Amino acid sequence: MATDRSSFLVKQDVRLSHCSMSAESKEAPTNGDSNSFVEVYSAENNGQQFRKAVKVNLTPSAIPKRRQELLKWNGWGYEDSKFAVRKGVIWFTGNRYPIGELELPYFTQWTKDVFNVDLSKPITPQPPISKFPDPIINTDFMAEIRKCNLVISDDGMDRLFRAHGHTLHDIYILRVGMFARIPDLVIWPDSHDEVVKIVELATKYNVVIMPYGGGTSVTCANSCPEEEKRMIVSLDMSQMNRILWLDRDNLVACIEAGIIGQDLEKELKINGFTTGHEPDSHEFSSLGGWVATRASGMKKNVYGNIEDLLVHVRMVTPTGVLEKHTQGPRVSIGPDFNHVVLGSEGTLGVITEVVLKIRPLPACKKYGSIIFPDFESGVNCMREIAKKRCQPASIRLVDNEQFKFGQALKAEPSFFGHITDGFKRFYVTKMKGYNVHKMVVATLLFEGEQSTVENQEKMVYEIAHQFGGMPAGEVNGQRGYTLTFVIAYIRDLGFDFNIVAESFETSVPWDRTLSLCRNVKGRVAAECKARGILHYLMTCRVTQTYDAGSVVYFYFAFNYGDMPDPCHVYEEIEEAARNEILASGGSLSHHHGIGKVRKKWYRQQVSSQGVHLFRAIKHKLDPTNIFASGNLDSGELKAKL
Amino acid sequence: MSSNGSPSQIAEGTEQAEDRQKAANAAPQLQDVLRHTCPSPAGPRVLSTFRNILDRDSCDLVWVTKEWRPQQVTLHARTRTTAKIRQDVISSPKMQHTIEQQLSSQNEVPKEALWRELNDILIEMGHTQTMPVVRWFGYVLSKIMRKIYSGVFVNEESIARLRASIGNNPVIFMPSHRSYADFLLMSYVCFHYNIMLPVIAAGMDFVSMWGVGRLLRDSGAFFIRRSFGNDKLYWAAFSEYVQTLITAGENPIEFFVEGTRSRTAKSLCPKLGLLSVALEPYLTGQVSDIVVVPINISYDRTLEETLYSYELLGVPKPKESTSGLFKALNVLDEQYGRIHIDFTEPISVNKFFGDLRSPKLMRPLHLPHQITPDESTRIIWLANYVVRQQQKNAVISLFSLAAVVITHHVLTKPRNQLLNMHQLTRQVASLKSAAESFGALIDCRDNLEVSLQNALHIHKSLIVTSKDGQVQVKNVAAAQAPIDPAKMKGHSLQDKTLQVGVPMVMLQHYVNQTLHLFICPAIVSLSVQQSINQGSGMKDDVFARYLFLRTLLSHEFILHKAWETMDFEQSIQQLQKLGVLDESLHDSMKLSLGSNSHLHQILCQLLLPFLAGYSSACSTMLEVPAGKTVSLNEALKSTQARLEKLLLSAQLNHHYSLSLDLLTAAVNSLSSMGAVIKNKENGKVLYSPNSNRLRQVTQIVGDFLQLVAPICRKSQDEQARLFITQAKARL
Repeated sequence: MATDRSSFLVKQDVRLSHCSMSAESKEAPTNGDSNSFVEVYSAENNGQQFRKAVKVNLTPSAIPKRRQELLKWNGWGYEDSKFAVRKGVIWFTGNRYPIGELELPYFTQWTKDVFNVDLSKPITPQPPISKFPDPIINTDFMAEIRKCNLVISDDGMDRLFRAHGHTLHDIYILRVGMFARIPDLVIWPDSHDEVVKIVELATKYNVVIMPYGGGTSVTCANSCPEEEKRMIVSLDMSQMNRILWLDRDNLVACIEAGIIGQDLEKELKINGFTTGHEPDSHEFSSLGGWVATRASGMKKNVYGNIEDLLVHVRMVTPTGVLEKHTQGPRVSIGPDFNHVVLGSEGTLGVITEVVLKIRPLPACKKYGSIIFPDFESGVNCMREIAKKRCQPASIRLVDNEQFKFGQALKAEPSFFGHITDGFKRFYVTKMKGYNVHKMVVATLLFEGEQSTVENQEKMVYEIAHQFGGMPAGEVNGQRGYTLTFVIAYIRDLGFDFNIVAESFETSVPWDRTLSLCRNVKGRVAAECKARGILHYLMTCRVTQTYDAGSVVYFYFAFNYGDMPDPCHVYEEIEEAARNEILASGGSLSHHHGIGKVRKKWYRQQVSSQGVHLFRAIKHKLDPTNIFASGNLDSGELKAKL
Repeated sequence: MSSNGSPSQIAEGTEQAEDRQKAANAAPQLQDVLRHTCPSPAGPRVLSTFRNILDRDSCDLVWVTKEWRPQQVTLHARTRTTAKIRQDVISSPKMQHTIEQQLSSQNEVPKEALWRELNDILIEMGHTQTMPVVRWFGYVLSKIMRKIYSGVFVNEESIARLRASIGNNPVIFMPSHRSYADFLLMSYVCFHYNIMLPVIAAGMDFVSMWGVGRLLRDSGAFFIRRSFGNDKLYWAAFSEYVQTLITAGENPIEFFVEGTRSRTAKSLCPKLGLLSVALEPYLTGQVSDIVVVPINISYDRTLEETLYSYELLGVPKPKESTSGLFKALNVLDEQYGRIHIDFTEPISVNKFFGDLRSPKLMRPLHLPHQITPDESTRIIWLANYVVRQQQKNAVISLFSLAAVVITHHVLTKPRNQLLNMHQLTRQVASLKSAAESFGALIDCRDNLEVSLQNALHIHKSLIVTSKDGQVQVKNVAAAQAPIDPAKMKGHSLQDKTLQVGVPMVMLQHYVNQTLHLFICPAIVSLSVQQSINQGSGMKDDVFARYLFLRTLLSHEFILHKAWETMDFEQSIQQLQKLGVLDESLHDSMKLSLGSNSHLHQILCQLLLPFLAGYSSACSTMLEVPAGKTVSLNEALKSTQARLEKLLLSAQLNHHYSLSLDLLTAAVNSLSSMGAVIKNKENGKVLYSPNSNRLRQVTQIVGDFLQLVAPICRKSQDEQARLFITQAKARL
């Protein structure tokens, strides 16, 4: 079925392994020629179609098989990058990010002001775990798998690494305890065909498969159901990271689902293209994961969300491969089963290959920012911009708390000079009458042709002016976006000082955006008060705009003092906040997905008929529940239908 | 007992029975909610936490000019000018939709005219709270209050509790409403405690009073027309105005859930309109919670006491006018005792409703919210709960207890047997301990005798104590100028009826202040007695009778269905403790009377004017020929006439039965019991009897009335001799 691509692929290190893989077994080095295009005939899709170009990326993935060698085993991101405390001042280690190796005196002060932390008293997490639950082994399955020449591992750390995502609960457990259930075996398939084989065997021997992409879920979607007694295989898709072909005329590319965002963009960039899909997790999250969770990218205004980008998708299920046999740009053929795959969260099968739209790299990329006297005028301005459909690639409005937080993350005083009363600060607060404790900022990213960007800029700033907004420079805008990737590292620092933190999101009609933000903040404040939580941060930003509504993203963090189970307290408060979101007209999720943490609301969002329909699909595609991640549907059919 | 069916069956049509079932099913749930919402207070309420705010360190001038930094209602609040609020209402999606889409196209009225009309409505409605006026007004009020009141006592514990629960969500103050003074008092108290001043919903009647309307407006009142029926524009403007106040959360909103001043001193059945409108932002998810604070304002002596008496008997209420107000200023020569104000435990609507808001496909905000049956049930609960909280947090004056004793004496003792101070004190003491066991906080600061004398002194215009210690009622109506019969709202009562009636109704005003404590025990006592007389005494038989009376009186007292079992059980326990019921019986399913027959008698007697009035209302309606209808007014008039005859012939001796308020409740009650049928013809409400059912009800009410009819009957003339006449009565 697939072309014989092995001849121009780097031979993957294939070996059977019971013990952990040694360092020498890492990827073979690249031959340096990552730009080679080869004209071939493809046998795919019944061999009917002619492919103009097949591109193979010869660069290995930025993420190794043994992820723990590059990434933290119990926290976010790269091992060498983190917030740390040196002589009472917080700084950021490593030089992968713009604030690397810089001391952050304002941020240090900010953590004291907001969270009342004592930086001299860090809490140490448990050392790397060495004792793991005994794996449940299905011997017949193992015997067959061994015959298949696959890369596998039953090393404890490999298994543990794939037992979680980055939900607060997951990381908290890694710091203080152990999961009740972790995968029993990790398999790194190398191709669609290998996946088909593995799923066949799993189905034959009743073994559970949990696909694993980037492992960045924040909904406990990667967690193994504790009550699962069958053998659980984690299917690590990271080695399926090739761009199988790239079609310059039609602007589409066929890509293996395991590729992570930064690799995908790196490869496309070499050829002058981009997908434009840039979720905040795109350093680590995978294409398959995006499809499986209906991901959304920061620049969706220009490029669209994953469902807009996706042209074709293959999903391997226990009863066969689900795919469309057409690549028409838009079709009128009954319900669109791409949408069965999109958002299926690993419950129906494994996504192996995706045909995505691509775009030429933009000629012009420009940042910008606007300050508003208060959140309400900012929201009204966003609404107007969305109404006129002149949104730049990205437009985000952060509230006052987040604005101040952003200012605090600066290494030295600049535009708003956190401490100094520089001229600009004087100008903004005194001359223009902005209140430092009310003002908010919108950050902008323009992409496109030079002239388009200029027009857009003009329109946006004009509208902003009507709502009391004032341009605040490119640098502030750029900082806003570059900091995005760093913010995820802060939670690990918080853990060291009695602070638990998490984010959650929703989408909401325009006329309810403002009241939703207020209500959720108010509800969280009340819940904190009821629990005696004095030091907390509850902040939001309007992070996307649509014709019919907006997306609101919340960060919530609190100093838990001496509470015995802060994670549970957090979950209770988030549940209250989610109820408030729903009651205020917001949705259950905009792009994080359902996973396990939001299952309880699934039915009321999709109706009982919706749940029936989902179950019918599940039953047909996966009758023996091989894909038993337990995401989306709680499986309890209540009597009151 | 009537053979036509058990009292409980008669009490209810099928519809009501279903309602009751629903309420009963939901009741345990509510109890849970209430436990959650309202943790029982640390201890019993005590007078020592009340502080007299007139008794302050700074002089009035310093006080009113203090720096104004009030505690904010919500963090997001922005102070808006009157014009800005008006602008916000006008530009709201709801108003835009109402005018652009609905009214102008349906009625073919030009939009411009509608927008102009809206603007006029909003100007007429809008409040214009301005601090200088508030301060100046506060100064004058301080002076007046110092003159007529011996203290304005505020429960400072409740203020602390209030402070702790505001800051996050919109706040609604719901004070009890007994007097015009309520309007001013709340703002006065808030000013004193640095709480953001409330914006107050007031009836339109004030606007026409020259100067007063403006003054109230500047102090934060906004004005709502008393009735605006189908005026969609007005309705939209009014609801949007209230809702913008809620969602913006700048000020607490204050309104009286009873709808109007209670002339009877009993709580009125709560009105749901304004409450529903105010809760809509919560139900539609625009705010995450609303804090409702029921407030009790207890007066030792009501400013309007005489006025109310006349009004209840049917003497027309003078139109509110400024000159009338000045005439009323002669109240300044009198003493009105103390005022007690208690902010009860703030209620989180979200918790009370059990987070009822279901995530559903929400309608856009410009469309009116359709209240679901479930929401409606909860709103009714909430409204009733608010009123009960007001009642529970009353401070009962000793005079109210004295009024019970005096009334009982007047009705039951021979005319030559006057009540002396000694007897009064003794009886008040025993009634006090009964009331306290029902949860009352009695205003008795010194020893009982001194406190009672002080309390009587406040009411010396109604009750006098002679040198030899005889206690008598003054005939306040003696020198009343002749009343033009044409102006009588009810039946044109004879002068001699009024002479006894006015003071008796005034006295009943203070009896009524205690009835929320006694009503359930009274109903239970009477039911037990009747059940025993009929040879039963079984608990479920008693409960059936109790249900009948409760249903009958549900327009008279706050007797929400959801609480009927709880109230019943509680009353039985209390009555057993007090010895009114025998608690020594081993059979827990059987009830019998105990040794405290005096208290039993007093309790049952409390129901007399109501049963007598209701009984006459029944008879009146029975006389309406089949197929004919009467208006409410006609029914009231002929019932009053019937009652007056009974009074004159000594078949009845309680003049409070003449109360139009009571008789209106009677007709409404008969209507909801299905004994009379309510029809609307050309916008007029007319009643006709449902003969079979009405006959049954009449029979049962009559049976109950028999039991409470006084042991000693006196004619009206005889009764009048118990009174001493007063040269000048004030109106």
